[in-house]
Amino acid sequence: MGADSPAPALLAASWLIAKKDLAIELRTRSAFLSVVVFTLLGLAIFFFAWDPTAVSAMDLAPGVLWMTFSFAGLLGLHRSFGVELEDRAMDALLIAPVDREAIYLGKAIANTIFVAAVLVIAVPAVALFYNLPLTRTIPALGGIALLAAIGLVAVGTLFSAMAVNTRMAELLLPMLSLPFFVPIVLASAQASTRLLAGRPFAEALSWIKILIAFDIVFAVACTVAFPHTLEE
Amino acid sequence: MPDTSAYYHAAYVLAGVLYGGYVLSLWWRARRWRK
Amino acid sequence: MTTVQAPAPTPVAAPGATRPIFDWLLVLAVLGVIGAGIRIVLFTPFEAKQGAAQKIYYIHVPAALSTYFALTVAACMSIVYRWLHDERADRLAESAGEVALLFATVVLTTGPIWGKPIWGAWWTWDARLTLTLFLWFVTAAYLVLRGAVDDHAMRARYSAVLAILATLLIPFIHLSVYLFRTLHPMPIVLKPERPSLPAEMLTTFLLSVGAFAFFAAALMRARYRLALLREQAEAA
Repeated sequence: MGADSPAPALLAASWLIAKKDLAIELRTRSAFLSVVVFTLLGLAIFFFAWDPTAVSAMDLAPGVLWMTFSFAGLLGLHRSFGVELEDRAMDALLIAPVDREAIYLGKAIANTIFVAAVLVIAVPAVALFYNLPLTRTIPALGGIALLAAIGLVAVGTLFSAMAVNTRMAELLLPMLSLPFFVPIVLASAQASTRLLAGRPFAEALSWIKILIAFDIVFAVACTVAFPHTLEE
Repeated sequence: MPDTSAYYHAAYVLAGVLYGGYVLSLWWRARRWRK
Repeated sequence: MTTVQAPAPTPVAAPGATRPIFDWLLVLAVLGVIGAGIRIVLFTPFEAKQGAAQKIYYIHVPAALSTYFALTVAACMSIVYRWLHDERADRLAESAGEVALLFATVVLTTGPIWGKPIWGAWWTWDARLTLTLFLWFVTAAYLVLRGAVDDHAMRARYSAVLAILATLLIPFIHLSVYLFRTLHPMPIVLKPERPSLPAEMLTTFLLSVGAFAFFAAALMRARYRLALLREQAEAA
């Protein structure tokens, strides 16, 4: 029995890779700003597509957030592996003495932090644009958004790694990812509309459970699957 | 009994077109690859 | 490391040496489908409440079952490929995927044509319809992914990963959409207790299921041979 179980080494390596990605992002901040602006634009444009007499803001707003969030997430994710294309940085990562799962986990952690940072701006923005009660909205939407982000990032990071090596990466990434986003968007929207409307928490709970189950299943599945996308 | 035969015919014709179209596409692709 | 022998020349198949794409099996399968069709059209009574449109059931549900059949083949072959690295498994997965997309398209087009006179709506976002729609999307994504990767090994790896993840996705879509109210009629035949179709219609239905499943298998085989042909053409 070795002195170190494999798990701490894996997490340490993942965190190292995550820090690298975040450091790159912090230095330029361009992707972050683009995604934030895209999200805010999306929230604003959806407003004009909506007839306020037909649907109440409280019913519409969560859905708008999740839609915009999905597409903004895809944009951010596309760049996640795109960044490695420069100077064949990916080869260096593969030669490095880290488990391949750590490459995936590191990127996923960095992407989750990135998405969480975007949400810090987007969730209050939704509340403001759609005139929702702040004290109720922000914790409810924020909490669900975080859970949704984990699932979104888990799947999107894996597909981004695959898509980056193909001919139509920008089209392929949404095409692969969006079917997987459906349970996330559905469960998030259902849970958040109930919470925003002040319904008892138990009603939203089954949807939140689906969200958590999805996160666990796909975080594990994608971590296990990632090495299989690389050459032997 | 309501007269829903238009739907009945439409569905069968459409299914036939789809299946037939696929078989045709197999033939056409085989021709292309045999050259 | 020095090698003295030259590698043995790979035998190049003469053009037309592959097995024919359209052979007796496919003809037999097509005849089976036509036979089922004749039984449906001429020898099965109309249903009282739904009228002629009810007969769409005999092609819609068998197409759905064949879709699941083809998708199962595709998913299993993807796993087999990851395990055994046999190119034949990958080729079969591709063939099954394409056939699955065909049958799913039939399901999604005949379904609304049936739904409109029966429920008054072309489409509802209930559990089963939505799941079938997303099966269509995922299968289409699978085929597009394959088309976007030229390298054989990478293509097979990526396809296998997508196939397995998609299999994990199905229960989630089903579960989450099922929590919505559903309008789709309860299954008439595939219930644990006795089916509620009268005997004549049940026989027609079962014959149709068999005919379409056989047709799906024959199409998969034909498509597999096409894939072989294409590989040979590309190698030449």
